[in-house]
Amino acid sequence: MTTAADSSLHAAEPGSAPVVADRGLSRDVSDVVLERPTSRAWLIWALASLALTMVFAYAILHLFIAGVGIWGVNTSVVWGLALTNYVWWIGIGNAGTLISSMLYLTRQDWRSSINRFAEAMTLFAALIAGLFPILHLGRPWLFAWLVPYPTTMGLPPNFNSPLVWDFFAIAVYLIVSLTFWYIGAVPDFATLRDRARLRRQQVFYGILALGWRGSAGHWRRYERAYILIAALATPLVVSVHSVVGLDFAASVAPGWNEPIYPPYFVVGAMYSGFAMVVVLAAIIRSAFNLHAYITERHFDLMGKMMLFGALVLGYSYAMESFIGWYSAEDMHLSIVVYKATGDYWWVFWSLIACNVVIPQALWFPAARRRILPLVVIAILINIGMWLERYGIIVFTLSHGHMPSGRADYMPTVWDWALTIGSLGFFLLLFLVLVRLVPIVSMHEMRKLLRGRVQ
Amino acid sequence: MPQIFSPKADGLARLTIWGVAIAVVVALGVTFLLMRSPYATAVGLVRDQPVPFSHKHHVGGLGLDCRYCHASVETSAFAGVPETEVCMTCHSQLWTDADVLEPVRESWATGAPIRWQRVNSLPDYAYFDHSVHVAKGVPCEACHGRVDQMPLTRKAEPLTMSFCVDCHRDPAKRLRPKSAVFAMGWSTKKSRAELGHYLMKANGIQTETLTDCSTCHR
Amino acid sequence: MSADKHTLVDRLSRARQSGAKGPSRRTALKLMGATAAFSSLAGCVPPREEIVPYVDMPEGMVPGTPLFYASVSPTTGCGVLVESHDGRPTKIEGNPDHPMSLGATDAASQADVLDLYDPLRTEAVHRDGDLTSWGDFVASFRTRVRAHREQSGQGLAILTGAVRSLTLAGQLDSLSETMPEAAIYRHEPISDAATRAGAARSFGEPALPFPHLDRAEIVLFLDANLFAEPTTGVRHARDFAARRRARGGAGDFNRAYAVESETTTTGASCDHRLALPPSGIDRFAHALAARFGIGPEAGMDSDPADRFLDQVAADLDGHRGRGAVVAGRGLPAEIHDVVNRINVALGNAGTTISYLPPVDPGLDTLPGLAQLQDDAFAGRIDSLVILDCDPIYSAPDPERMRAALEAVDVTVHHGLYLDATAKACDWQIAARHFLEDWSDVQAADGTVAICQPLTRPLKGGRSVHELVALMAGDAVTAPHDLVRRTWQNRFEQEGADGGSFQERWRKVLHDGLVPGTGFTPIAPELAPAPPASSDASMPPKTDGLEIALSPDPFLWDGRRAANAWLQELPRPVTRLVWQNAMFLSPHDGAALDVSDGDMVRVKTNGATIELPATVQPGQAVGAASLHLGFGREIAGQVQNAQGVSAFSLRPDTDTWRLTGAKISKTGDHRPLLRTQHDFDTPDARTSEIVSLADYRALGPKEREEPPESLYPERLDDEGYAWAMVIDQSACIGCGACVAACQAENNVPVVGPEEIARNRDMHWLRVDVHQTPDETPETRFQPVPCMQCEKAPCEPVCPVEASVHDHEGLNDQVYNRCIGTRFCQSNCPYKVRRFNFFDYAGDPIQEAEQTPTEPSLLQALKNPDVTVRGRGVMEKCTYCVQRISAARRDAKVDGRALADGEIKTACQAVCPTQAITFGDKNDPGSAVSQLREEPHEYALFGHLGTRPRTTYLKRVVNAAPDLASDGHDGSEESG
Repeated sequence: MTTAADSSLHAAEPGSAPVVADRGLSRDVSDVVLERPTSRAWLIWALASLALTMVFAYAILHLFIAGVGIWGVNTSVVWGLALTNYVWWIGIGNAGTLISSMLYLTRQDWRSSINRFAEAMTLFAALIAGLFPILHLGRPWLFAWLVPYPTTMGLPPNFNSPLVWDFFAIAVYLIVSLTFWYIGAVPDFATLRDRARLRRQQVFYGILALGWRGSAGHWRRYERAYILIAALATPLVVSVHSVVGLDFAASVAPGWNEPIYPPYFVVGAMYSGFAMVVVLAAIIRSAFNLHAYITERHFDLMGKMMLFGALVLGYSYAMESFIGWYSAEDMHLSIVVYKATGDYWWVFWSLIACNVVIPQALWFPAARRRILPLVVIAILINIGMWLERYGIIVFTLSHGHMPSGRADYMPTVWDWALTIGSLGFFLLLFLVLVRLVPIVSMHEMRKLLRGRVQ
Repeated sequence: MPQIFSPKADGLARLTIWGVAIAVVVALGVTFLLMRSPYATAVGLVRDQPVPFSHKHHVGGLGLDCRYCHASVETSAFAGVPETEVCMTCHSQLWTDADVLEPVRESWATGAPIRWQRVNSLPDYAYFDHSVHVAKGVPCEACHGRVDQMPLTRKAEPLTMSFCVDCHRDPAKRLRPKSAVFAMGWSTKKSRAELGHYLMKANGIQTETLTDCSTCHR
Repeated sequence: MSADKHTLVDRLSRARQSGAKGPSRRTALKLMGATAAFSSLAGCVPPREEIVPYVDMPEGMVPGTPLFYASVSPTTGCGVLVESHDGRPTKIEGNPDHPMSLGATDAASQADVLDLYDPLRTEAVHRDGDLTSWGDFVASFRTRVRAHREQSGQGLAILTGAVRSLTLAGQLDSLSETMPEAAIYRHEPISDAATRAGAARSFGEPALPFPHLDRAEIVLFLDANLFAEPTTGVRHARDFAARRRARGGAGDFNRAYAVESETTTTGASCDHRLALPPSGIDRFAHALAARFGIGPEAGMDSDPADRFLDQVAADLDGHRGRGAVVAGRGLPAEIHDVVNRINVALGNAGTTISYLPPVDPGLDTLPGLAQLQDDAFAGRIDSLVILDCDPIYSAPDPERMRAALEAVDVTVHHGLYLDATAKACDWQIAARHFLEDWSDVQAADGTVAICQPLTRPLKGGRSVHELVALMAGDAVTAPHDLVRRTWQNRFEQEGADGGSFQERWRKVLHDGLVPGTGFTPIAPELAPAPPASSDASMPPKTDGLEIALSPDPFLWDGRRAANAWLQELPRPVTRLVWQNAMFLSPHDGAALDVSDGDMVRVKTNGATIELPATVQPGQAVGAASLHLGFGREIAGQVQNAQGVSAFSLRPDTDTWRLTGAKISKTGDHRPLLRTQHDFDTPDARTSEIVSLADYRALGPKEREEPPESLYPERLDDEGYAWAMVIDQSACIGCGACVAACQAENNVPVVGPEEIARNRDMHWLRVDVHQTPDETPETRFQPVPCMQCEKAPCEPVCPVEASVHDHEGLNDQVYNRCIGTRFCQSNCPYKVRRFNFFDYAGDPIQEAEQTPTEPSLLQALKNPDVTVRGRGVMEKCTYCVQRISAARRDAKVDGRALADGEIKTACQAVCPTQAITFGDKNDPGSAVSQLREEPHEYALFGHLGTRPRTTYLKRVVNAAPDLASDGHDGSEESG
C-alpha cells in the first residue's frame, strides 16, 4: 500500500495530485477562517448540534442528581451504553494521531491534506471518550481517587487494575495529541496572523503563532520537535486502545478473557477512525470546496485502509469463534453460540454485515473513488463498530457463568440521550474549529506542491 | 505592515508559560498542606458544652481515673459518657449550688438527659473499639492527648485515616504497659524501642492483620 | 408516639447509628448534584453530633454492646432470642432451648423486627379514623360493657383468631364465666380444621399428627408442605435433615416421597416426587390404604403413578413402625382419617407420629365467621370486639362481612394495622407488636414461652390482655401483672417445688420457656367408625382444572402483607417476589395458550380475580395452584399492587380446593417479578447430585490442583482462614438464610419497580436449578459470596475497594468504592449488589425519589454494619462484624477463638443446619472436616478462583425401581 501511495504521488498522474499555486492555496484555506462570512448552512448545523449538546448536558446533570439507576444497567449487566460509547469514541479518537504520526514517520505525504482535521477529530473524540468512564461511576465526584496523589488516607490506587491504566493512557494520549496538533499548526497560525486584516484576528493568531517567523532556525526546530512528538505519539496510538482491550481481556468472563483483544481493539479503533475521517473529509471538502486539496486519491487510499481493517476484523471475529470452540471450555462455546443465536442475535449479525461483509465492496476502485458509496460504507462501519462494542459488553454480561444470574439489558431514554448528545457535542466542537483554524495544513501542502513542481 | 506586538511581548509570553507551570505546582502544594492542617482536620476543635466540664480540674487537679466516668472503656467499643447519676454521686454534695452545674441538677430532677457535643468523632463507616485498644496497651493519650491539661475538651489528633494507619502499621512506638495505659504524660527510663518490641510480643499483636481493611471497615 | 421517637433518636446518636450517609447529607447531595464533585475536598469542621447519655443507666447495660432477651413469636409459637442495641431490637435469633426452634427460625420470623418499626402501623386509638385517646375509649366503652355485664353479656361478641396465649385464653374463659351470654367467635383463615376433624374421625377427639421425622426411615408427604408450617416447620426440617447427612462415606438416610400438586420446598427435598392434581392425591391415598387392607381395592390410572405407589407401599410395608405418612391441611377430613388408619395399621402411630391436642380447642368448639354474620344480621350483637384479625380481607364473602359489621351497633378493632376491617369498625385500637408486649404463647407441642417487651410501645399500642381485662371488668389490667398472675397461680397449683415463684419466674424469663409444659400425646386408639364407602371415597374425575389453594409461605394468611422484606423475599422454587401467580403445568399452559406473565381470569363461587400465570415444570397436570395472603389492603393502600387476594374464591374458610372454576386468558401480559429467569441447568457444574450408593462408593477426597494463578500466592496457612461449607443434601430452600442476612446486614429493599429492572440487593440468594425434563428435579443452592482466594473482583478494582484480608475474607470497603462495577462484571458468581439508587433511604425506594426525614426505620439498622449509600457496590462479608466482634473479645481476654464461636447470620438461622462456617486452618474444626468430604466441590472450581465457600453435593437416596424417573444421581454424579 505504501509503495502504491508513493509512486502515485511522485509520478503525478493527471487529476491525481492538486495543481495550484501557493498563493491560491493559502487564500483558499485561510479565507475559510478569515474572510468568508458565516454561511447559513453552518449556522443551521451549529444550532442543531448546540441543541444536542444541551441534551447531553441535561442528561449528565440528571445523572448526577438521580444516580446511574436511571440507566438500563442491572445487577447482571452492570455496564451499558456509557462504556459502549466510551470504547467507540476512543476508537474514533485513534485514527487522527495515527494518520498524522504513523503516516508522517512513514513519509506518506498524501496525509498532509487530511491530518489537520483528523487530529482535531482525535482531540475531540478522546475528550468525549474521557468523559464516559467518569459519568459511568456510581460516585463520579470521587473519580480523583484514580489519581495517585498523596491523600490523608495514605492509600494509592490499585495499579493492577486496567481502569487505572485507562486513566493514564487517555490522559497522556490527550496531552500528546494536543501538543502534536498545536505544534503542527503553529506555522499556519503565523500565516493567518499575516493575512489577517482585523486587529483582533491579528492579535489572536499572533499569540497562537508564538512569534513564528518562518526563519530557517524556526523550521529546523520545528522539524525536530514535530518528528519527536510523532515518534512519541505512535506507540501511544497503540497503547491507548490496547489498554481499553485489557479492560475486558483481563477478566475471567467468557467472551472477554481472550488474548486477541488488545491488537483486535487497536485495529478496530483505526478502522472506525478512518471511517470517521472519510465522513468528515467528504463534508469539509464539499462545504468549503477544497476539491483541489482533498482528492479522489485520498479517498481511494483511505478506502484501502478501511478494506484492510475490514479484513483484519473479519479475521478477529473468526478467531474469537474458533477459540471458543478450540478452548473446549463449555462457557466459551456457549457464549459464541449465544452471540449468534441468543437474545441479541441481531446485534451480532448486523455488526458482521457492517464491519466485514459490506466493506468488501472496497475491493472495487469504483467504490473507493466515488464519494457517495464510500461515505455510506464509512457510516455503516461506524454504526457497525458501535454495535460491536455494544455486543462485547452486553453479550458477556447477560450470559455469564451463573444460569441464575442471566438477565437481559434494555437501554433507557437517558442512555440514548447521552449517546446522541455526545455526537452533538462532538459536531459542535468541530464546527467551531473550522471557523478558527485552517482545516488543511497549509505549510505541509506547500511543501508537497513545491516537491512536485520541481 | 505594522508590528502587532511590541518587543516586550516576547518576554511576556515566556513569563506566562512559566507562570502557569509554577502556579499549578504551588496550587497542588497548598492543597496538600491544607488537607493536613487543622483547618481540615479540626485539631484543636472545642465545642460549647451544656456544662463547661474541665478535664484539667477533674483529671489533672483531682486525679480522677478515666474509668470512673468512662466506665465501659475496657469492656465495650464505646468508652461511655457518664450518665447524670455519675456526676451527681459527687455533685449532690459538692458545689450543690454552682450555676454551671445547673444543667446537671436539672437533668437529674427532670430525667431529661444532658446533650453533650461530640468532639472526637470518626466517620460512621470507620469502626473503633476502645476495649481492645486499651487491652493491648494503647494509651488514651495516643488519640486524646493530654486531657489532664484541657480546661475544655479539645480534639488533640487529626484522626485521619493515615493517623490511624500509621499506628496500625507500627504500634510499638506508642504501646505502654497495662499499668500506664490510663496515665497522662507517662514516660519510661527504658529504651522505647525495646519496650515497644517487648509489648508487641507480650500482647500478641500481629501488624499484618491490623492493616486489613476489615479491621476498621464493615 | 413522638415521645418514643425522640428517645429513640437520642439512643441512635448514642449508639452511633452507622450510616455511610445521613439523610441530611443525602438531600445535600441531591441539591448539590454535579457540584458534589468537590464535596470530597471541602472538609473543615466535622458535622455536629450529640452524645446523649442515660440519666440513670439500667443495670446490666453496657453502652455499645448488644443484649439478648428471650421472647416468643405469637405467630409461630417458637421461642426466640432478640438482639437489642441500646434499647433497639434489631435482630431475632432462634432460642436453642425451645423444642420448636432449637436455635433456628423460619424466614418470616426474621422479618418481625421490620414490623416493629413499620411506619404503616396504626397509632394509639382512632374513632372513625380520627385520633383520640385510650382514655376516651375506656370512658365510653366501660359503660357499654357494664351494661352488657348486667344482662350477663347479652349482645357482647368477641372475634379472635386462634388463641395461643394461655393468659388470653384464661381471660376469655373468666369473661364467659362472668358473662355466659357473651358470644365468642373464632376465625382462622388458614385452618387445620380438616386435619383435626380427620383425627376426630379416627380417634374420637380432634388432634394434630406430629411426625417425628428424625425417627422415620420412610416418609410419604401427601400434599403436605410440612417445612413451610410456621408453627412446626422449623422443627420438622431439622428432624428431616438429621436423617440426610452424608458424612465420612456413611450416613443413615431416610427415603422421602412426596405426592403433591405444586412443587413445594418439602416436595423438592424428597428423593421421589409424584405430581398429581388434588383429586389424584385422594385417589393415591385410598389406593395406598387399600394396599394395607383399608377400604376397597383401588389403583392409580397412570403407569408412573402405579409404579410410584408400588414402591411407596413396599417401602412402608418393609419399615413398619419406622415409616410415616403425612397428610397436608389441604386434604379432606376423610383422607386424613384414611391416612391415620394407615399409620395405625403400620404401627407408625405413637412411634414415629404422635397425635397432639390442638393448642386452641376453641377452634373446634366455638362458632366461626358464618355464625357471626348470621347473629349480626339477626341483631343478636350490639357490641363486637375484633381481636387481631382481618375478616373483611380473609372472609369468603367480603361484602357480606362488611354488611355484618355495619349491622352491629358498636364495633371495636384491635390490631397492628389500619386494615379493611379496622376501617369498617367504629373504634380502631393499635395493638402492640410482640416486641412491645407481655404475653405467653404456646407452641404446637404445648411448650409455653413468655413474651417480654424489649421497647416501650412505639406507636402507643395497647395490649390485647389489657383490652380483654377491661371487658371482663378485671381489676388488674397491666399486661405484665396479668401474665405474671397466670403463672403464679399455675405454679402454686403445681406445688412449691422449684423454689420461690420469684426465682422460677426469673428463670422462665431468662430461659424463655416454661419447663414441663409440653403436651402429652393422645393415645391413638382407632374409633370403630370405618372409612367412608368406596363410591363416596373415590372422587369422580373432575373435568377442567382443579384449583389448589395454599397459604403463601411468607405472608401466610396475609398478616405479614405489609412486610417489605417478606414481599421481596424470593419464593422457594418460583423465585417470585411482590406478587402471587397461578401455577400451571406446561401441558395445561399449552392447553390454555398461556405462557409466563400472561394474565388469566379465574371465575368461581361468584367471585372473579385476574392474575398472571406462570408455567411451572413439575406442576401437576390438571392442577392450578394459587397462594393466599396477597393483595391485602393496609393503611389505605393495597400491599404489593402486583398481588391478588384469592380468599374470595373460597365458599368457606375451610376450603382448599376449587373445582369447576372458569379459567380464561384475558389477553394482557404482565412480566413476572422474579429474581431468577433461567432455571434450566444443562451443565452439571452448577449443582451436582450424587446417589447414596455412589456416595458410599466414593473413596477419600482427592483434591485436584486448581489452575495456576498469575497472582502471587498468599501465605494463609497461619492465623485464621475463614471458610464455609453448604450441604445441599440438607438445604430445603426455605429462604430463612436470605431473610436473616437481610436483617443482620442492613440489606435494603428495592421494590417491585426495581425488581422489574432486574435489580435486587440480597447478598445471599437461593438459586433454583431444575433439570430440563418431564418430571424435573429441583435443587436448591444458596449462593453467598464465595470469598475466592484468587478473587476476580480484586485486581480489577481501580481504587482498592475490593481487597483481600489476611484471614481470607474478600473485603468490600464501601467508603472507598466509587462504583465502577468492574468487580461485579468480573464476578463469575454474580454475588455482588449495586446501589443504583439510594435504596437504604427508604424501605421501598421509589426510583429517583429520596426521603427527606429520618424515619423510625433507621432504628432498625444494625449499628455494626455500614449503611451503604447510592453508587456503592456491596456484598456478603461472611458477617465480618460478627467475626470482628468475636475476635476483639478473644483479644481482650487474650485467648484464641474456639470453633463454632462465630456463627454467620445465615448459619445461625438455618433450620436444617446446612451451613457450616469456621477456620479451615484448624484441622479439628467442623468446616475443615467437611472440606475433606469426598462429595465436597467448589462452584466453577475450574476457573481457578479457589472459593472459600464450597458445597457438599446433594445426596439422593433413590429407590432402585424408580431410579429411571426423577431423582437419580448416577447419571449426573460423574
